[in-house]
Amino acid sequence: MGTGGLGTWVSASLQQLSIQMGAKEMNILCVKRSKVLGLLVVASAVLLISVLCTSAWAVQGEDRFALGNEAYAEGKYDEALSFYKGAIKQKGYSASLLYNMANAYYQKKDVGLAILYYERALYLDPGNADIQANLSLARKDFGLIAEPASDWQRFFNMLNLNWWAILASGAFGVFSLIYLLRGIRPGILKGAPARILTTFCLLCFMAGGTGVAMQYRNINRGVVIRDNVRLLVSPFDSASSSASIKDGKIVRIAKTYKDYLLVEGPNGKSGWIKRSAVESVVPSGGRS
Amino acid sequence: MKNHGAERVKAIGWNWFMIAGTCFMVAACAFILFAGSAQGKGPAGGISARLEPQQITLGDAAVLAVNISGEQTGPPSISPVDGLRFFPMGQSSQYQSINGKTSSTVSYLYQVQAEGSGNYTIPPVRARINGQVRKTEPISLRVSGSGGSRSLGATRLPPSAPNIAKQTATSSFRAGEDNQITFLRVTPSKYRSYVGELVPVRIEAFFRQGLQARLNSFPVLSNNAFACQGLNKKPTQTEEIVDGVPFAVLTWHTAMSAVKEGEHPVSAELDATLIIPQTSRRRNRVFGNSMFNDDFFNNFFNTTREETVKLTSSRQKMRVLPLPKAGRPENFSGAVGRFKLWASASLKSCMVGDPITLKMTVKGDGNFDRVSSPLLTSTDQWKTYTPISSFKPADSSGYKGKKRFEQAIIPLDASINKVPPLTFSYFDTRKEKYVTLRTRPIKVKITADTRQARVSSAKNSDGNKPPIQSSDSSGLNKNPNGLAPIHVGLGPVTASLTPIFENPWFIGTQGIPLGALFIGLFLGRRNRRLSNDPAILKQKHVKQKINKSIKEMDRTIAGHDVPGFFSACRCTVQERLGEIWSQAPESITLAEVKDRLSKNAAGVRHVFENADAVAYSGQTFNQEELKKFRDLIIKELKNLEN
Repeated sequence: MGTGGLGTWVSASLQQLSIQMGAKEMNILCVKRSKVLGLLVVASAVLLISVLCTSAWAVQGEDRFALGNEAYAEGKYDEALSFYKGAIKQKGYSASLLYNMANAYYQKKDVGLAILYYERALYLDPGNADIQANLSLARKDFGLIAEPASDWQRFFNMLNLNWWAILASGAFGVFSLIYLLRGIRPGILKGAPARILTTFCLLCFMAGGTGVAMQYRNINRGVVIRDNVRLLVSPFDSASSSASIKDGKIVRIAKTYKDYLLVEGPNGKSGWIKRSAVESVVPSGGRS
Repeated sequence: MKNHGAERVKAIGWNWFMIAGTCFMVAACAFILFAGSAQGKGPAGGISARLEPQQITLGDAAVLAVNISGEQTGPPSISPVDGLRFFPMGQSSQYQSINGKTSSTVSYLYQVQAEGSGNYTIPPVRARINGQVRKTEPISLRVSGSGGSRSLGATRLPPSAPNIAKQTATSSFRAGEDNQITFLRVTPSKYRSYVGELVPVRIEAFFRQGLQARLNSFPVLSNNAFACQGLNKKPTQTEEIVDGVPFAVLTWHTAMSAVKEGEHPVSAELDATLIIPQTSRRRNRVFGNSMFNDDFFNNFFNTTREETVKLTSSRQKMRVLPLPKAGRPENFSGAVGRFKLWASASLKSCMVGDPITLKMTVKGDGNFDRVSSPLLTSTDQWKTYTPISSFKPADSSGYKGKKRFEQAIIPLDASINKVPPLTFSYFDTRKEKYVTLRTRPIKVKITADTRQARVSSAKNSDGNKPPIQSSDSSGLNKNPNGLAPIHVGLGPVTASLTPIFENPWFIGTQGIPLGALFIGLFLGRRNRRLSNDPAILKQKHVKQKINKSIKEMDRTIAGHDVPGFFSACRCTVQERLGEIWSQAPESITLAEVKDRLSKNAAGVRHVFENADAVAYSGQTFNQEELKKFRDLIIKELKNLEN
């Protein structure tokens, strides 16, 4: 409905209302009607403009994503990545967007960034079969070995970290509400249904908490994005190297020192590595 | 009564269940929050101990290194072991300050000597770290029988020294060494070897006791027919009596290998600066043996001079034999020594395309740098990758040890049932012939890959838009499974990848249920307290009875039961007055009502009088009158409440 349509509807409604009311009330309404109408028109215009702007912004982000997909389908992977990055800037992150970026990097044989974006996509959507299959394929093709996930891990991969946190928080909220209602009205929420609900909340909270704990363990992971990066024994350029690590390998980031990160590789080897050679799976300024 | 008790027990159980659940939730919330905040802060401290080597010959010494890290650490405590002696060799510290948090790592070194052969266990080493006592795992030490000239009989164990452990042995001068205040000695473990064979060698620098010296270089072999490694390590320091003359001895344990055949001299060189004390001239003056001839004054007045020397050892002849050409295996890579080979696979059953890690271990003694990987090569059935290797030496020279190889292999065929045997060839210096080691085939169960089918079915069941098929112009997808296509729908979008519970608003929001929980707990506790109050219980009981009587009054009005009505009226009033006067309701009579209520509550008296009249004279009232009585009673009850 446009702004004019809304104004007409409001005017007609007020007129109908004034007919129904007495003469005195009608006079008061007639005096105030113009002001109310003006306010409503201004508010509607503001609302409409903001909605249009948001829609345009969203459409622009969607467009970039679609353009990226078209470029990808034509084999123009660099162009596709450029569109995808633009979409991230405009709309934010989505599992599908990160997954498509990973596919583009995979096609470019950029193993480090391919693995990084698959891992990021999995972080948002851990149970996605496409992402899992392509990550597995990328690892296989580039000779990277990952420990197979256990049944427990597979179960907790049903939801991502945020959803587990929301589940735990929601369960806690419902449990607290039950307790509050029982405190206010002791007579209500008694018997088997209340017990079942409370037990269900507890189970959900436990599952959510465990899911958060399971997935939060991986929050400090990073992916090596440069090939044959040297692991140094100390965080200085002149330090001797203890080993080298392939791109695409997952490392655990333990500490930072200036431009260096102390990382631990999958085989337990640890060493300092240039910050630019590793990208955090979950980028956060405060964390790593 | 029984039912009431059972209900009460049930209620208590339920309350305990709720309380336990609440405690669990609060504790879990706190744990998650604290665990989250503690993430990435690093370890709080620890202790570790390492003994090298773990197998020694009687008379030799092992070095125990104890590393203690933490913010506040104390020295380690080593429990005594029968037959073992520990001599402190010193300590080194390393400090780290990251983000304002300072921690230190202190390494304590001990020389460990055994008084007899056998197996020893060093009990856990304890240390106080950050206020807590931490301990290491027990360490075993194996001491074999006498190792040649340095038998226990010839070795006199020294008393504990604060920094450096001293070991006194006896030996004789070799040719050219006598009357020297310092000399270098090279002792290979054998004088006949093959090209490439690693021969353990001991290089010792002798300095006359009391002489101060400074090393300007590490020892180097003076003949380029040999390659030597590990000479840049810190030497061990001991004491030795050579033909009755005490010497301080620096010893390097290393290994050398000949690079060409023939007979070659083995010798080493070392640059050092000797600090030689100059005797004071005062002593030679005419005063003869004055009090300044005392050692104390000699040391005080003496000066020193420095003299740079190049120590060269006497030449030992080493006969180097060529490796025989006859019988040399094709995969021989130059490994010489004695080795053993093992292999294992990370997975025993998997699907086609799953990577398997093949682990191969070569253990023994010899030139490990020439031990190459017994790798599996790519075939129609296996796709293989370049292996990675790591070497763990078992002694300081790197002569003994274990080399591990890890190779990623991918089965390409479901008909595979074993990993083929791996072979490794070396030249055995004892048997003096080539030996080829072969692992046993590793049984594996490979099944056909069904994941792609699952992926496809999952996509079809989504009911989403059909995905764009990826064009594989790069030719990367040689795997029959191929790359799953890209997604056409953007899906749910999030502004940041930061976990939701790291956002302040999320943490703040948790205060609402937490507050509700505490309010609920408070109210529940209050309700329980009130429900157990006898006065409140009685009040509730009276209220219930009055309500019941009022219902009875309504029923009797409807049935026009005048006696029943007045009986209910009387009961109602008796209950209320009984509660107020704290008296049994049945005992309240009209006389008592008249007496105690006086002019108040005339309606009550009126009802009592009429009730008596109905009971004793059979007076009757119509329904309208009864309703008026009912209203009157309810009004009076309210007045009595006030």
